[in-house]
Amino acid sequence: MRSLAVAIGLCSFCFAMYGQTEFGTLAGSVAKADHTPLANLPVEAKNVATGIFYKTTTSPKGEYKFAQLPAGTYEVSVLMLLYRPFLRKNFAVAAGQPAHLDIQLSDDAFGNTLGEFPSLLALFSKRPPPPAGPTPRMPDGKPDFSGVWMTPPAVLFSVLLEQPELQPWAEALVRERILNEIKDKPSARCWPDGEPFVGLFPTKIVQTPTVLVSLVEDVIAAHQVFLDGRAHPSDLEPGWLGHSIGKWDGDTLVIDAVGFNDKTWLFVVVPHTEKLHQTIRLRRPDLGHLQIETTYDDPGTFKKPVTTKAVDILAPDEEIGEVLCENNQYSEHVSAK
Amino acid sequence: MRFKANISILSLIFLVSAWPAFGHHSFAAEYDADKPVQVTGMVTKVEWTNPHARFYVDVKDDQGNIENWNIELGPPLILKRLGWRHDSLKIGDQVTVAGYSAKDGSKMANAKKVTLADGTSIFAGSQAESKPAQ
Repeated sequence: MRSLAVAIGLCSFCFAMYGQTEFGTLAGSVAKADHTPLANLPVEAKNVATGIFYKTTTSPKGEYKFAQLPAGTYEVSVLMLLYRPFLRKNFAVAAGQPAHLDIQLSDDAFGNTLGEFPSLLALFSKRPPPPAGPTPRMPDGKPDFSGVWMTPPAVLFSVLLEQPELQPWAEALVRERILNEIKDKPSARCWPDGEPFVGLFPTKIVQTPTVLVSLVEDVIAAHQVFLDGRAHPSDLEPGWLGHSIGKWDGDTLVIDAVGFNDKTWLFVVVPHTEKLHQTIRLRRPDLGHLQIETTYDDPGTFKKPVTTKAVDILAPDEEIGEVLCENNQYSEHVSAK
Repeated sequence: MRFKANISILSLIFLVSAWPAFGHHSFAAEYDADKPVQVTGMVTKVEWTNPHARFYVDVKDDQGNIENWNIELGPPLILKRLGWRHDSLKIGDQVTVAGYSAKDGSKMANAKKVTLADGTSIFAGSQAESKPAQ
């Protein structure tokens, strides 16, 4: 019994010594260039020798702390799409020593080009509320989703109900894409973004009893949802928009979509495989609103299915325009860091 | 909004999660936000084209040489909603363009602000109101 106590004591001593000699701390703050603290941002420290990522989150005051990092060399990063990516290489954390790193993020990732994303957000945020009224219906009594729809900016930033849990390869690719400042995103090559009902640009839905067509005012894309009872083809070739069939569940249209290629990027930066299976539930509870709930099931990418929810508003004063890429000089000048 | 204690990298896209929310191009991959530029000269060409409109300006350098700058705008349909038309800028107009230089060093910039010779800004929106939501 006495020897056991001695052993435990020795072990405690060893652990204490281990803690004192092998670990250090890393703390600091994350703020914008004007010193505004940034809360709830993920901060990562990658141990260069082991490849292990240590993760923490900034406090409401923008402060972060890694209380116990194995001594070594680290790559410290804050990868947040609204800001330019931050990466500090060769940052040393010494045993028993507190390391300190204050991080400033530039919020000019969008560049404020005239007519680009921020301008559009500002424009849409000034829109009047959608018209009120009952749900329009088809002659057979089913809801009619037809109309020009817009996703309000506030919705664009909150469609994910929970953070996706990614397979390691997908998480690594997300990091790479953000560090590359999303230079290879599909739309930079005028390829479709893949989303039929939620997005920055207006969408026009045209519905008949046998097919619903979603026309997105972006890199040209016409999504067809077949309502005539057909099944997915057995010889489906993977494509940008997939193959969609819809069935009614009361007043909800349940869309089943498969047959995607692996070239679109979900949630701006997340890859997927050709096994992606989307289930979209569409509802029009009144004249002015379109509810879209989408579940993304792709075990090759997500550890569990991911669900998004969004509500578009009817924009009866709007019409979608023609977008045909004829002058894409982007790829000639793009350069990664 | 609830965060896990040991947050994943993906928490960052929790905040920005719509596909096309970043426009067609990655500004940061094409232009250098640390290299602001201002050029003044004469409009020589306007391309009202997708995915982005562009115009070209003849600019005199310090030695008196003429350089033709390629200035990028946003998509025509967004510019139209902001009040621009395909003929808002005309060949021969004298303009001053403030923006950022291309990373690859070419005579190319994006346009943050375009001002005519009489001081009129031909863009209706303001930078202050065009910050993305967070």
